[in-house]
Parts: sequence; structure tokens; C-alpha cells
Amino acid sequence: MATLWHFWGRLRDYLTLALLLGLSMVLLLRYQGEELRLLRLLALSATAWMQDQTEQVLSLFRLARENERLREENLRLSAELNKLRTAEVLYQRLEGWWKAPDSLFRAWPAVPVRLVSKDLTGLQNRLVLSAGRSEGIEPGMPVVTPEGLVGKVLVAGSRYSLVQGYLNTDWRVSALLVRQRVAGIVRWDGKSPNRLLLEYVPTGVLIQVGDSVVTSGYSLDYPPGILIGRVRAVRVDPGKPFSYVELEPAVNWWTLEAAFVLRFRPDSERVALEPIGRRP
Amino acid sequence: MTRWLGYIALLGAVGLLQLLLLERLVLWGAVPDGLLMLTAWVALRRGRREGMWIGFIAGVLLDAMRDSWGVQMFTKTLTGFLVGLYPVEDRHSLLHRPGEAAVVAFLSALLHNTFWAVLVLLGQPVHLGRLIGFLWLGGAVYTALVVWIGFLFWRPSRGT
Repeated sequence: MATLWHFWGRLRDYLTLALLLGLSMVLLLRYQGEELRLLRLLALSATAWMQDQTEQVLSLFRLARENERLREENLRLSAELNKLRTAEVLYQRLEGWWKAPDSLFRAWPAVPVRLVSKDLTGLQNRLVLSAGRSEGIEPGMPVVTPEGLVGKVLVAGSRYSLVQGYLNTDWRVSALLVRQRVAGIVRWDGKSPNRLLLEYVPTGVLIQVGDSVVTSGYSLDYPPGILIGRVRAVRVDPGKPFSYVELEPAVNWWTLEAAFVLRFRPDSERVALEPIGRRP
Repeated sequence: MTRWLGYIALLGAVGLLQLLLLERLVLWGAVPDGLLMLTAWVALRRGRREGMWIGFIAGVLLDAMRDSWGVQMFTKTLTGFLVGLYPVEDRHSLLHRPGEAAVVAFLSALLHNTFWAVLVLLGQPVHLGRLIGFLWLGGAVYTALVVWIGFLFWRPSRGT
């Protein structure tokens, strides 16, 4: 008995070690077994709960950094949103252009141009375009959008051009009431930027609000058929031979960003003949 | 009995530290092993028996945290036992220098990681270079580094 006790005393640690290692191996080998499922579940729940609590406390310390990051993100997203809004407006405009009838562009080659600057508040408002002689632009060429007439090129530099638009008191264009086939002269009186005047239309002509007015082609400046505007108001003053006709311009000067220069040249024989006819 | 109550309190404290802090300090897959350091510390001070039991309980705790039942029990029990075969004579002078503490931590972690790597290799196909480089050697270095940094700020008192 004493020998056995002595033997146990010597080997006790080794036997315990073997027992613990054996138990570990059993757990390791039965890891996927049903017996361990409850134990694993309890352990996972306890550790997950503690980690969750810690995470909540730690998240308080991260708030300032998170806040800063969110502010930056917000700024970035706002900038992106603004870009998208601009892109949407441009897209809608271009989509309109795409769908617009292209009879004008078929007749004369069109040079697409971007507006570099434009006057808004003067009486001789002008536009500067992003193309010039190097793109084939010459003085006198009409500037249009698919919505209608903008004006004509006054001066053409090598890379930029100056345009006299309809919001210019010196601007005149020979026009035609489409429905009535009656001609007149359109000009801007320098008062309201959203109003053009159609002059020299006899009072006997029946004009209705909404009637279209286009370039007549009678002058050498513009080809016929470019929309100038639509009748907004008509007044016949007693004793006067011509009606007072207000037009709403077809092109919105304020939102104008791009246009086309039509490489229109009047017929050379007509150019040669017309001054002769005007000689006194 | 009082000593064992102290061990249980220590195991609880280090277990919490492991779960809430050390388990988050993952570096290329390696994690500093606080419970192993406790096991080695007890084994060096008190010998193989207490080292083995503390290793076993520490293994249970770590297995519960990592859901790796049996692996940590096995490796820490064996490490506690083997480190405890060479207890220090003056236990009160143990680990009072950060450099020495780091070397002891490195050797203990290397021994422990060897058992662990063998178990891993037996159980599943793994990339040997990553296992040896990052987890076996890197894990031991990482644990030793954390111990060294820890001892720069805190050293166990002589009465512990």
C-alpha cells in the first residue's frame, strides 16, 4: 500500500497531465458533436454579449471621429449631387436638341459652340463663343439653337467670336408670321428681356396669341424659317396703320449655354444684285 | 485555498483583458496571448502542477472565446506543465525587468505556438509559410512585445 501511495505521489502530476490532455483531445475530436453544442452556444452567447457591451462603450469614443468622417462624406456627396443636378439639366437640354427637327442643320453645316461669356443687363448685350475663324466661322453667320434664333456673328477671331444677340437694341431681323404669311421687322426695345416687338404688321392682319414668327429670308442676314418667337400680346391702336405685337423669344437668353453657328452664306448673285436695287 | 482564489480572480481579469482588448489587437492574424502569459508566470513561480492547472483553465477560457474547444486547453496545459518543470528559485525576483520578461514571454509563446501549430497542421491544410512566419514566430514575437510594453508601465510587486 505504501509502495502504491509512493508510486502515485511520483506519478500524480504526469497522470493528471495525461488526463487533462486526454480530455482536451476528446473535446477537440468531438468538436462538431451534439454533446458540445450547448456548451459552445453558452460560451458564444456570453462572449458576444460582453463584446457587444464593450463595443457600445468604445463607440462613444469613436463618435467624434465618426462625426468628422460623416461631415466630410456629406460635403463630398453634396458636391456630387450638385454635379449630378447640373448634368441632369444639361442632359435634358441636349435630349431636347437631339429630338429637335434638324432641317436647318441639314441645309447648312453647323459648328457647335459653347458660350464663354454673355451680357445680361445692357442695351447692347453680346455673347462670346468658344469658336472662331479656325472653325470656319465668319462675321454675319447666324447663331441658333434648336429652339430658335439667338443672333449673328459680329466679329470672328481665330478662336473666339463675338455675337450680336436678340437682346440688343441695334438688332433687327426680317420676320414672317407663319400662319398669315405676313412679313414684319422684329427688334428689341431694350425694356423687358422676355419681350421682342414685331413691327410694321398692318392692322388688318388677324393675329392670335401663340402665332409663330420665323425669319423671312428676305434679308441677306438669315436663312428663312428659323423660329424667332411666339406672339404673346396684340394691340390695335385706333388711327395707327400697324398693330402692336409682342413676342416671347423662342430662345431663353438666361439659360443659354451652347449654340450652333450656321455656316450660312447668302447667294452671291443675290448679294451682288440687292445693292443695285436700292440705289436711288 | 487563498492562492487559488487569487488565481481565479487573476484568470477572470486576464480573461476579460484578453476578450475585450487583446483579441482586438490582431496583426497579420497574430494576437497577443495574455492567458498564456499568466500560465507561464504561475508555472515559473509555482511549478508544473499549478502551471498545468492554470494552463488548463486558461485554455478553457480561450477556447470558449474562440470557439476552438480542446485546442487551447491542450496547448496551454502542456505549456504550463513544461514551463513549470523549470521554476525559478527566487520567485519574488521573477519578472522585474522588461527585457527578461519579454524573453521569457517569447520562449513560452514559442513553445506554446509549436504545439498549436502541430495541432493545426494535423487538423487542416494551411499555408506553411504563413503559419510559421506570422502565427508561430510572429505570434510569439508579438506576445513578447506586448509583454515588454506592458512591463514598461507596470511591474508585479514583490509581494504578489
